[in-house]
Formats: sequence, C-alpha cells, structure tokens
Amino acid sequence: MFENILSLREDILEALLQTGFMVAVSLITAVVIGGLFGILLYTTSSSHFYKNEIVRKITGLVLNIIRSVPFLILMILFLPLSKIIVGTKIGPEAVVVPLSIASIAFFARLAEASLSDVNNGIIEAAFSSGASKSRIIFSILIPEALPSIIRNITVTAISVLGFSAMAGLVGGGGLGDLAYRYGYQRYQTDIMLVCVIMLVVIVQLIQWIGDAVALKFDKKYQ
Amino acid sequence: MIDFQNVSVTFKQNRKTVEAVRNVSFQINDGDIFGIVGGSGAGKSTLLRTINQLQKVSEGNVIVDSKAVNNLKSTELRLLRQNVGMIFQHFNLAENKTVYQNIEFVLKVAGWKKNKIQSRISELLEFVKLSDKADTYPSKLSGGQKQRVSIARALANNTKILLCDEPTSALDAETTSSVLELLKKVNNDFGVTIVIITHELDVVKSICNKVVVMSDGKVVESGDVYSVFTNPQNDFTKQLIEHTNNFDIPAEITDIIKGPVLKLTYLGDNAVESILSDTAKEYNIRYNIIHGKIEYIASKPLGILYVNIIGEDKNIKLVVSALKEKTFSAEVIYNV
Ligand SMILES: Nc1ncnc2c1ncn2[C@@H]1O[C@H](COP(=O)(O)OP(=O)(O)OP(=O)(O)O)[C@@H](O)[C@H]1O
Ligand SMILES: [Mg+2]
Repeated sequence: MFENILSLREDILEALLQTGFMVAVSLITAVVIGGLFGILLYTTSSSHFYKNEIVRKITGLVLNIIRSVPFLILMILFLPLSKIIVGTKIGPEAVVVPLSIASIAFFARLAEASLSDVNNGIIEAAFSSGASKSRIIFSILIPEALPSIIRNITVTAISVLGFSAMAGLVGGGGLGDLAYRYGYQRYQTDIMLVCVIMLVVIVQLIQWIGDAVALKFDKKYQ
Repeated sequence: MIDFQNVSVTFKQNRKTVEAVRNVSFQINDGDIFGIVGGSGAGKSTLLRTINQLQKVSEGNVIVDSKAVNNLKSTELRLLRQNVGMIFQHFNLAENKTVYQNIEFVLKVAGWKKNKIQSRISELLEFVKLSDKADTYPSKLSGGQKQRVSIARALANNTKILLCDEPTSALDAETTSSVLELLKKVNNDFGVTIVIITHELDVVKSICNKVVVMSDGKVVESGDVYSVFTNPQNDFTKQLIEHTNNFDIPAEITDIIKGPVLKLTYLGDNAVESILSDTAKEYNIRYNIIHGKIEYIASKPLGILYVNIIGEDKNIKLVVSALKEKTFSAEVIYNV
C-alpha cells in the first residue's frame, strides 16, 4: 500500500501546494472584497452611518443569489470568466476565480454579522466624541469586531477548503482532485485516504490557528 | 448656556408616530448641575441627545453657546461634539482598547499633537484616581472604575459641557456616591456644566442645583432643586417625591397609637424643638415622636418628623393648624 503513496509523493505534494494556492488566494480576496461588502451591508443598514435601503437590499440580494447557487454550478458558470481574467479555463488558476466569488459572498455575510454584533452604545459614544464616520469604522468598529471577524475568517477558510476540493470535477487540481482521480476513478483507496487525512489535518490546523489568534485579540472575556 | 426653544421630537415607525418630546422650552446655565427626572419613556434621553445632536429635533431649536446646533453642517457638528462630553449608563468603553487607548481615541479625534496626548492622559487618569489602570482593558475594571474612565474620556478635550444619561443606574449605592462626588468635583474644579438624567431622586437631591421633571414628553415642573423638592406643584412631581420620601409607619406602632399622626417638614433654620414644646404647652397636648430625619437637598437641610399627637380633639385641631403656620408643612397622614 505504501508503494502507491511513495510513488505518487510528488503528485501529492503538488496537489497540496495547489490546494494551498487556491485557498490562500480565494481567502485573501474574500477577506478584502467580502470584508468591504460586509462594511457596505452594515453601514447601509445603520442610521448612524449611510443608511440606504436600496443599496443594502440589492447588495444583499446579489450575495444571496451567489450563495444559493451550488458551487459546482458556480464553477461552470464562471469558468468562462476565468479565461478572460487569468487566461485559462483549467487548473488551479482558473478555479480561483469562481472560488473567490463564492468566498466573497460567503464571508461578506459573516463580516456583516460580526460588525452588527458590536455594541451600538460603543459606536454612539464614538460619535458623541465628534469622530468622523470613516474614523469610527476603522478605529472603533473593526477593532471591536476583530475577534469575531477572525473566527469568521476561520470558518470561511475551512469552507473554501471544502469548495476547493470540488475543483477536481473540472480538472482544477488540488488534494480533492487527486483523491477523486485515484480514489474514485482508479479505485486506489489508499491515495484517497491520504488525501482525506491531509484535508482533515489542514482543517484542524486552520481551526487551531484561528482560535488562538482570535483569543489573542479578544480582550472582552480575558 | 443651553437653551431649548420649543423643542419637539417625533419618531415615525411603520405608520406609528411617537411624540417623544413635546414643545419643551427651558434653559441650562453655565456651571449648573442640571437634573432631568421622569418616568421611563418620558423622553429624557431623547431630549438630552438633542444637545449634541445624536438626536435630530423635529421642531424648535437647541441653542448651545449661542449657536443653533440643529442647523449645523457635519464638520461644525463634529466640532461641537468634540466640545461636549457624554457618559452613559453602561459606560460604552471600547472593549478592545485599554483605558489609555480609549482616552487617546478622543484626543486624536480632536487633533491633539502626539507629544501632548500622553501628558494629558496621565493628568486625566490622576484626576479620576486611576493612574495605575492605564494599560488595563475595561473588562478588568469594576463598574465604578469604568464610569470614571468614561468621565475622563468625556472631559479629555477640555469639554465645558458634560451630558450624563443615567450615569449611576448600573452602580451600587456606594459606588454611586463616589461617582457623584467626582461629578461634583468636575463641576467645581473645571466649571463644567453637567446635565444629568436620572430616575433616582437621591441623585438630584445630592448634586443638582436645578431640575426639570418630564412626563410624557413634556416638562411638567422646573426650578431649583430645593424648592421643587420642598414644594412640588405638579401632581406627578408630588407622587415622585412622596414615593421616595414616605416612611411607612410599622404596623406594631399603628396598632397601639391613638390620635392622629402628623408629618411635619421644616426647613433647616426652623428650631423644631421649641415649636413642639411651645405648642404642647399652649394647647395642652403631648407629642410622641415616631420617626425623624434630616435630608440634605442641594446641600440644604430639610427636616422631616413624624409625630403622634395625644390630647383632646378640639385641641388637636387647633394645634394642627398652628403647626401648619409654624413649620414648612404639616400633614395628617394617619388618624384613628
Ligand atoms: N429611535 C427611536 N425610534 C422610535 N421611538 C423611539 C426612539 N427612541 C425613543 N423612542 C420612543 O420615544 C419615547 C421616549 O424615549 P426616551 O428613551 O427618550 O425615554 P426616557 O425618558 O429616556 O426613558 P428611560 O428612563 O426608560 O430611559 C419612548 O416612547 C420611546 O419608545
Ligand atoms: Mg433613557
């Protein structure tokens, strides 16, 4: 059984790197762009900031549509876009585009929830000190929401990892792809098992790091 | 000076309208410690928040230092807020900032230079007696300490007006009095005008010089604290005051006494002992003192005495009317 694994160790390593690449790029885009959408959703729903029902509802609707489309379909729909953006319709680079779009929508809602959880009284106190809206967003709102945002980044990272495993279905590469090709198509369960174990370890690792970092930033219950 | 001129605030929510503040006019002078009391939902917070425009007015004007704040543009509004501090029932300190960082935020907002910020914060923390807590997070502070930090934060930019929305309602009695002492000191040392909402009349009695009573969005009574407390005009105010002043005579006593029980109040300078001994002689009656206390309202003493009168009926009638003349008030509260 170990011969199989040993002979494929370069493929396994490559798949690991591909997964790492897909998750890292999508997660960063999700945190930056999804985070901005989260701020948009929060500020357009609060009368202290830029309350605007129309913008909030349209943004919310678009994000919900993306979130309700199964990721496989989303990939098929957005791979043509990958061709335009990254120049190819296959491989991890191509998958990163639909993966980022799905993660943006996923994280935007979580970020909005994190921001809404900040005690309104703290925001009000900041306004009463004469601070500008943008200063309050960046110096009060986000730092206060940070522990919760970090926990939600962890949740997003693990979901993105799960999505990325589906990339194999369109030849996207990564651990999921490897597991699918060898385990399902060639009945080499040992390879599949190794891939699954690696995925489990990665999930645990992400969770463990995320919890530790969130705790470090959380001064509320320490 | 803060001048409310026919201020109304109306909330519209899903076809329902709530008139939270109705045509309110009064003035708060520089250096006042001004109390706003009233029941829940009376509109106190809404009115207070119009001063720094956290709440917009629907009608009327709010004038702060001869500027109508309800017409300010956003930059002017921010400048106004930098000069009006506010503290809250639940303190509202940023949880992920240290005591130092909480105060620093306000100073940065007001454009303080880096090299001045540190010394200002040490000065403030010394004033509120929390110098050793600069690097502590709020979750590690007691309620009273949190409120002292928020007072330091509110005063950081040398503000001349301090708005307080139920600042002691989340605190126990002992902590309450230490926070009230601090507010007094703020008023006294820096000449800060303090506007304080409370439902605890004791707070008003102990630190305010002026008070308005609100009920259902309207101001129903206003004046200086001593006269409002000793001589309330409005029924709602009377109720409020009686509610806190009344002493229930224990059943053991009501079971054994005969004759009326009088509640006498007298201002500090009335010599109550001589009034009692003189009237006892003159009308040939005796007094049983059931309960007595002296309250300090706006630092002036008000005596309250519960006495049982023993004697002939016609003499009792006469002595009651004589006491009404000689004391601040005399009221039969119990009669068998
Ligand atoms: N943002 C708002 N939207 C709608 N109605 C409001 C709003 N704020 C206050 N109200 C209503 O206005 C009225 C006055 O509220 P306010 O908070 O000023 O009362 P209060 O005297 O401070 O009461 P409490 O002692 O309970 O704090 C209440 O009926 C309240 O429900
Ligand atoms: Mg209130």
